[in-house]
Amino acid sequence: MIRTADIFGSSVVAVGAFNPAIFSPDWLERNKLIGNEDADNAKKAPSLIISQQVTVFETEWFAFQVLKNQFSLTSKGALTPAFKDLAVGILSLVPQTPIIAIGLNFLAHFRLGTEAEYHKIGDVLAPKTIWNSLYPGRNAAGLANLTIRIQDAERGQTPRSGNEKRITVQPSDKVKFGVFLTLNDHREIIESKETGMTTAEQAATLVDSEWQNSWDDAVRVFDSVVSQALSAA
Amino acid sequence: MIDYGTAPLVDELEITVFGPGFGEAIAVHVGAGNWLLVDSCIDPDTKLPASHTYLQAIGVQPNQVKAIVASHWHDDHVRGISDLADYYPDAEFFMSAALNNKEAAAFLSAHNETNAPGLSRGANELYKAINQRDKVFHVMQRSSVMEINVNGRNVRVVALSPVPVAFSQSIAHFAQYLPNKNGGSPVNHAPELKPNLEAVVIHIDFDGDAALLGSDLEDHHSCGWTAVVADQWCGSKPPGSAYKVAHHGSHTGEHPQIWAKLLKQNPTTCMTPFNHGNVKLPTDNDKNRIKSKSQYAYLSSGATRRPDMDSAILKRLSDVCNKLARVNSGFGAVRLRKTVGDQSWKAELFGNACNL
Amino acid sequence: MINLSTMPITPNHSPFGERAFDFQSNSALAEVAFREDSSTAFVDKANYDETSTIPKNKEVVPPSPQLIIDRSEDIDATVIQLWEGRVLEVDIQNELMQVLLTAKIGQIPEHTAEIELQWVSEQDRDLVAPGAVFYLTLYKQTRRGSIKNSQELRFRRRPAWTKQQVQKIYADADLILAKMQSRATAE
Repeated sequence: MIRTADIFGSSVVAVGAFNPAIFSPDWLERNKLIGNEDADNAKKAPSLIISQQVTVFETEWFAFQVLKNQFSLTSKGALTPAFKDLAVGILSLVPQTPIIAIGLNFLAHFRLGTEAEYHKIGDVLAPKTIWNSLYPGRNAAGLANLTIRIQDAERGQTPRSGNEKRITVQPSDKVKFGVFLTLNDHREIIESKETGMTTAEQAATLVDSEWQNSWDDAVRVFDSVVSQALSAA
Repeated sequence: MIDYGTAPLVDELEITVFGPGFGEAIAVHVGAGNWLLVDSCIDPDTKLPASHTYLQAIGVQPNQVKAIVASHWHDDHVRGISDLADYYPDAEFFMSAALNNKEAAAFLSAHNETNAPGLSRGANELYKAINQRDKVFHVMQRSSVMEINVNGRNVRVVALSPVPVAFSQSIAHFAQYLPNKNGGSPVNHAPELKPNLEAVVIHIDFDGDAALLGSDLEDHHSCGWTAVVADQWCGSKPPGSAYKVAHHGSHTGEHPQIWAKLLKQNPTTCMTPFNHGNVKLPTDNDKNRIKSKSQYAYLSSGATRRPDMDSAILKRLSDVCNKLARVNSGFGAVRLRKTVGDQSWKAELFGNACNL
Repeated sequence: MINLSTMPITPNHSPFGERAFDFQSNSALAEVAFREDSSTAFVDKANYDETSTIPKNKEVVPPSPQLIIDRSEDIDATVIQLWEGRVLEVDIQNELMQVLLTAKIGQIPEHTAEIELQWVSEQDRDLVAPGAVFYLTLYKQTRRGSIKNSQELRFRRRPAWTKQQVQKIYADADLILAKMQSRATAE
């Protein structure tokens, strides 16, 4: 049975060239991507910034940040496919925006049964023999952050594409004796005359078709990492 | 997995109707290993089209399927039909002539899974099926679907509907759910058209026997069944000894002249149930009506519709939802076989199929 | 140089400890969001490639007022079950809708149900129509250390069709129509 996280969320990050000033709550509401209540809440929130260099706002269920070279939509509360629809909708509204990469990100906090299990995860993923030997005595080494990069290539070979996945593991600062995992499913977007689609259109299509798959993959990966670490000898 | 046994004999006719609580598919053997498939639904065990699962199970080769008919575009009749088109590339693909217009074509294109995910599964299935083919055929009343000589018998499969008068209704419906040519408003919903006057009713003349497949055609004063039974050409067809009852047995798919003109007295009948929201077909009245006119009457599935999920989830869902019911009341198949000249069809019931 | 990372800046993605909206009002300092404020780790640029979130060069930036967002009211949650729903019928008079529910997690078969319109937020009411799609989420929320079960119903909002999309749709429709052929009339 797949382990259920205590906290689970997502963010969609796009790298490209953006004009932050256009991405306002009013603009989303005018284009019917959010309702009037969400737009009003965003406009009233203390986090609201709209400028040529940066736009930031949030509602009950998402937080949005646009810089000149990055756009980031982050879920809040319960994750829903409406979040993906919003990301697709926003990207669809700016078809001429050059986009070079999309990140489908998922994060999870898992509460572990005991403190011993909590330490076991760190000890299995990052064995402490070398680290503890550096400062023997009263200092103890612990896992602060582990990132594994999985490229689209066999080891030693040239990657077939710029697509890759990064999995991070850290102690959770939200859940006691918990572990925090993230999966970054990084996809490169390449201009293609064959499809006749702009890079933004490709990005929207990619998010639409792949976000759910990435979610399913993240659930599988997170469960596998935690389960394998806990059951290791 | 259901054990379907073996394929029919060379000179044995067969009509097999598959159906869970939401979905319908028919496989017809016209003789000498030649098959016609009408509509599609999913077998819950294999997750593949039920007709395909069946044909594979009894050892039918892909090139034996000569025709696939999508009688209309509603989700419950075309789930997996694009896969059927893929599995049987030699089969000619047919659909209602109500789809042969700009509005319908644009509707199918606009509501495929890429442009409008989840909005219209039926439209997506037909769109995919058409895209796989170099050509597809549209049929209406009097169109020939299949003509084949089977060991000296001339088998003729024809369409008794839709009638051209019904097309304008379809066109108007599709046009409502198309994007504006300049872009602009989002299309957030695309319901199915009611009543269904565009479905393809199939008549099979086995040359010595006949059958009627009623699809989901409903009645209307100038379109639908009234137009079919009033048509002299339709009335000249040999009356059927087997009838796949129209529209899941509902009274909207009923017309007394179907039984009087298009069928023999006391035919063998079969149908699939339909469970969707408040609609649960056939009703008890429907069952009584159909049983009174049939020698034998069968239902592809009669299993319970009790909710099927973890009890903790069900409890929480019940806070928000009332009248929770499973859509698919099990899955079953009704198989009718006879040799031409035999008195009656021999029926076999598989899975959750039952007497009506 | 563009930071090609598509990893988000989210709470508990230390070592930066930076939160997405602890944002400095001076927009020129936006990129400081990628900078570590609490960690004293040395960043060796040779060890990080261009796709890393860790920048290659440290910059000295003038101090500016910080916009600190209080995150203590944030609700964290995890989905227990999720359905994609489609509205079958709407009964305005009785404020009810008949729906078809397709579970997105696990092997739960499709179900139909009746839902009172009071579960639909005011801002989504005009989206309620036969054929409309919604998401029904059952989740467990954690707020300030306490956990409670909750649910949310949110209607899908698709973006408006663009002129280019519509052009493609009608071009596609022409191709579909070109494939349609009639059949001979039977005798």
